[in-house]
Amino acid sequence: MLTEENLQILYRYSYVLTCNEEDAYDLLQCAVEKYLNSSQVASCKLAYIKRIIKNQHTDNYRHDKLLDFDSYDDTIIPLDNELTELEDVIINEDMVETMLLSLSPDEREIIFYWAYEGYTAQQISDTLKQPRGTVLSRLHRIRKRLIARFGPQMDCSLEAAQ
Amino acid sequence: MKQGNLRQIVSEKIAGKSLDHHQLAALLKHQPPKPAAKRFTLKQLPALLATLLICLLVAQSLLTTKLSIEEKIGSEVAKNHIKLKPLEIKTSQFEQLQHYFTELDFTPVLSRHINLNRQALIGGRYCSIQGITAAQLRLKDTTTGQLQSLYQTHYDKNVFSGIAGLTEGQQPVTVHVKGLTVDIWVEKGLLFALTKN
Repeated sequence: MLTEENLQILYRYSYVLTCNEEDAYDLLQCAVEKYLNSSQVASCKLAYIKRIIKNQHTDNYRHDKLLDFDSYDDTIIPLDNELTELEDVIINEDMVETMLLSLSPDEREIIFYWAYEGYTAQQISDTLKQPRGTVLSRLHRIRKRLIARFGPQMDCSLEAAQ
Repeated sequence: MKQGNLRQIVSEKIAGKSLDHHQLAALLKHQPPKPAAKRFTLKQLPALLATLLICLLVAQSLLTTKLSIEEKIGSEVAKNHIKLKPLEIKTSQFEQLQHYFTELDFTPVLSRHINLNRQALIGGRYCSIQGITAAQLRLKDTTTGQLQSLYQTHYDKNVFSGIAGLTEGQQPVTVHVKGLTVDIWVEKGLLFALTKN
C-alpha cells in the first residue's frame, strides 16, 4: 500500500524529470497503475516505482523525440570535490525552473537525489546503478553547463577564485 | 527574491511541489483494498487435520517432558507393579534375597518403613528405575492380602536429587499414579519406592 507521503515523493521525482506539473501527475498515475497491475512483489516499492517512472518517461520522450542523448565529453575528468563545488553555486529562487529545463532528464534525476534526497555521490551511484565516476562526470557537466548558461547571474566561488 | 546555494534552493523548490487533495484521492483510490481472509475449502481439510495432529503430538510431548522426577519414578514403578512379572526368586527370608542379588552395586537392605510382621516377603527380581539397576521385592500385606512392590536402588544424586523434600531420613514423598499410591524415600544411601493399592 502506498502512503500519501510515498505519493508526494514520487510526484516530486516525476516533476524533476518532466519539469511540468501536469506531465508529472500523468507520469505518476501511469506508474502507479503499472505497479498495482504488476504481479511482481517489490521489496523496495519506492525504488521500483521510481524505475517505472523513469522508464515510462524515457519512452514518452523517445516517442516525442524530445529526449537528447548527451555524449560524454572526453575532456571531463571527474573529481571527488564536484559535489562541494556544486554546492558553492549560488542561485536565485526564480532561476530554478529555467535551470532544471536546461538540464537533461538524467541530469535532473541526479539533481533530485543530490539536492532533495541529500544523497552523496556514492549513494547516487548505488541508487542509479551507475559507476561513481559517471555520477561525478555528470555533476561536473551540470556545473559547467549552469555556469555557461547562467554565468553572469550566478555567483560561483570557483569563478570568483579564477 | 530569495537567493542561496544551489542545493538548498533546488531542494526547497522540489519540496514545494505537492499533489493536491483531489490528485491524492484519485491515486489512493486506485489502490486495492486489503485482501480478505481466504475462505476455508474442503481441499484444505487434510492439511488442517495434519496440522492438528502435529499440534496434538507436540502438546503431548511437551506434557510428558514436564513430568517431575517423582512422577516419572511413580509412573515407572506403578507400571511394573501392575504387570506383576514372575519372581526370579521366591523366598520369605530376607537374607536369601540379599544373597540372590549379586549383580547390584549395592546391598539390598530392610527399610524402617517396612514391617515384616505385617508385610510378608514373597520374593524378588531384578528391575530398573530411571535406567538404574534396582531390586524389586514383592510383599504381601498380611492384613488385607494385597500385594506390594518395594523397589530399591543406589541413590544417584544426579538422577534423583530433583525430588523435592527427598533427603536421607525424611518422611516419604507420596505420589498417586494409575490408581496406586507410591511412597518414595531415601534411606541408608538407597532410594526406595513402595507401591500400594
